[in-house]
Amino acid sequence: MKPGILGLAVVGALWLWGLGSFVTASGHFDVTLPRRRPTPDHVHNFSLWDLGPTLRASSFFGDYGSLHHPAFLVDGLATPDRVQKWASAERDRHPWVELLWREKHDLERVVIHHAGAVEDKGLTANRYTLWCLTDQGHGPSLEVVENQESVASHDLACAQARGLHIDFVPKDSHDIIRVFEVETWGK
Amino acid sequence: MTKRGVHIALAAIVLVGLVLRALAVRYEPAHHPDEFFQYLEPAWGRLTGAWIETWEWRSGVRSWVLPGYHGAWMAVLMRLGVREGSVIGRLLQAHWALLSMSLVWAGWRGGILLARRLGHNRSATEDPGDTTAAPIGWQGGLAAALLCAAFPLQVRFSIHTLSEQASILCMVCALVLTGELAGTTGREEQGKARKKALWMGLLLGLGVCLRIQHAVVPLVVALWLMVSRRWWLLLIATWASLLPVLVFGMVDWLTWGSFLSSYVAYVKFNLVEGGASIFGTLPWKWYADHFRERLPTALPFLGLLCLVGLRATWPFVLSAIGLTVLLSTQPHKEERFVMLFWPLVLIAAGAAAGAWLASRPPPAVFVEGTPLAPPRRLRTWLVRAVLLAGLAEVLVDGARHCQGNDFRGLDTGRYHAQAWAGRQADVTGLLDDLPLYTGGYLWFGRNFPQLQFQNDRIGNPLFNYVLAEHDSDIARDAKRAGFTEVFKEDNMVVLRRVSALNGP
Repeated sequence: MKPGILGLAVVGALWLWGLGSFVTASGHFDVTLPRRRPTPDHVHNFSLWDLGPTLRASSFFGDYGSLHHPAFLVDGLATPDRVQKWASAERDRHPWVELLWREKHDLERVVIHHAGAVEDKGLTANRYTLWCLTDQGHGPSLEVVENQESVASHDLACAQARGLHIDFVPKDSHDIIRVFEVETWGK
Repeated sequence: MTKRGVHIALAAIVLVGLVLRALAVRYEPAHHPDEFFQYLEPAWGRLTGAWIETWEWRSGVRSWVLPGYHGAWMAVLMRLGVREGSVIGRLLQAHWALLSMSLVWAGWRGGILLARRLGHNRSATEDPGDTTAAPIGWQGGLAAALLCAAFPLQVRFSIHTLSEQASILCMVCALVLTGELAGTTGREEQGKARKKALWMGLLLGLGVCLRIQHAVVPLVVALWLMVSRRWWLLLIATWASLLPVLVFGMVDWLTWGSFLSSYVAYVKFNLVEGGASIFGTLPWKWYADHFRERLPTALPFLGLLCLVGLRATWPFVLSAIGLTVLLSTQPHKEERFVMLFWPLVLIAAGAAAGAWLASRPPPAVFVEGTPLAPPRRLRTWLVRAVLLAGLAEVLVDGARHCQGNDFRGLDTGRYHAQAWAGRQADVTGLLDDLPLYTGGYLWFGRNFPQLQFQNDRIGNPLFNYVLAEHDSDIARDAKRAGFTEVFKEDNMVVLRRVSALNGP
């Protein structure tokens, strides 16, 4: 085989491998915030940004003028402007978010600041499922089917939890999920 | 000149082209936000989950093919350990600059081909009596190759990750292949011609799928083959051109839900509904005026060469004029849309100049008792000197007037500053002055929030970096809120939060 053709074949094979990786990529978002302070001993919100949580999300609404980033879920600002919230992408039919912590915690309660806390109450998510994540996988869960609260507090006891996963169910094919803050309380 | 001499000259031209493109990769500013947000950012988003999603992507008026092409290279680079988005972006720009060297190949082949047709011995390719002699028409080949390698606007445009760039390479190479096909004779050559027709069809199909406005070129190609009575080759090329259409259509079907849906939406929005007009309209003669602004003194010279060589160069000239006329009918105009004009005209003009450079003075006949014949040799050399000076003027005039892009205000300093902020270990968010004038998440390289600066947003603890113009209101507001300047390039500064917030 001529060296030129061999070179082209190698480049082509590399590119095809890259294409395979690109096509099979999940497209999901994740980011780990740097830790800024030690974990306190008392009951606290252990998802707050400065405790260095990892955030994962199925997607986010990423218009450059109104970027609704998942990190806004843990910025500690429950009622900022309308932009600083997490919103799922328009074509995301199975939106979810996940908060992972640096240490294990005994989770007691989850507080979700829905869109209705700042915007139209009709934008609040009604159906979602909370999953506690442990080293063994999914722990206790809570299915919420008719939420009407703009700031919804859900008791979810889960010992030695590593994180929280929330699956949302959009109201229709055009609905996007909007959440301003997620707090996870416990020790 | 000998064959070896021509090859050395061609190698020197290739080297010049490479050096100029390397300089473009280093110094050329962004041409248009689209080169990031339409063709790189979606690919980056697919691989990292973080991207600025423009309205085109939410509305499904873009094909995933070009982002997929870039995304495959991004995946390879990331696997090789290159994680910094701005470095990946630069490497992809360098890759397009390298691919644009195919225009030098097209200039060489096209220039030889057309110069031969303009010369006295149209069918000859080499001097049969001398195996070391340069191919006939080499002057046209070298002239066109040099123009394609070094024309400043072409060099500058070569690094931009825009669909126009990819389509231009396809269209120009396809047109040169068509020229070679139109001149094929004999059975042996016809066997090779079928392969060339296949490649030519693939390139044309790909070029149109990448940039539908370039569809003028396939029409001229069809006309050229019909005039040359190459019916079989036309048929082969037509069938081959359908393969890219099929691939693009299937990608649309898989990503947007229906066959060629992004094209239907694109044509509907841009060409049928005139939706692009919301981005500004310009008078119909804007492109013609713009060509004159780019080459105020050398454009008439290029035009004259094209006109003189029209009997051979007409497919190139017709494609260039056809494209300009088509685009002039659209109210929304941008220079990048019409960039295909330049390589077509440069090859045509280079070939015509080469044909003239190759012409020799007829031998002087001395007749006893009559005065000496006028110095024809001197006249020929004068013509050659004028031609060479004219070609040099195309490059000089082009260099003197090649500044400025479609989108003003895309400062290199802003991109560098954004990438610098993304490299900081403690960054958790960036507020910037003009999000559309940045390189999106690819250039930032980190998955933290980026938003346009507003005074109330500075209270969000995540935003610990601010990107703004030096001495601007934003920079002053940030300093008042406890930020200090930590990076400066050109007129852009990055500020970092140094005093803690009072708590949320």
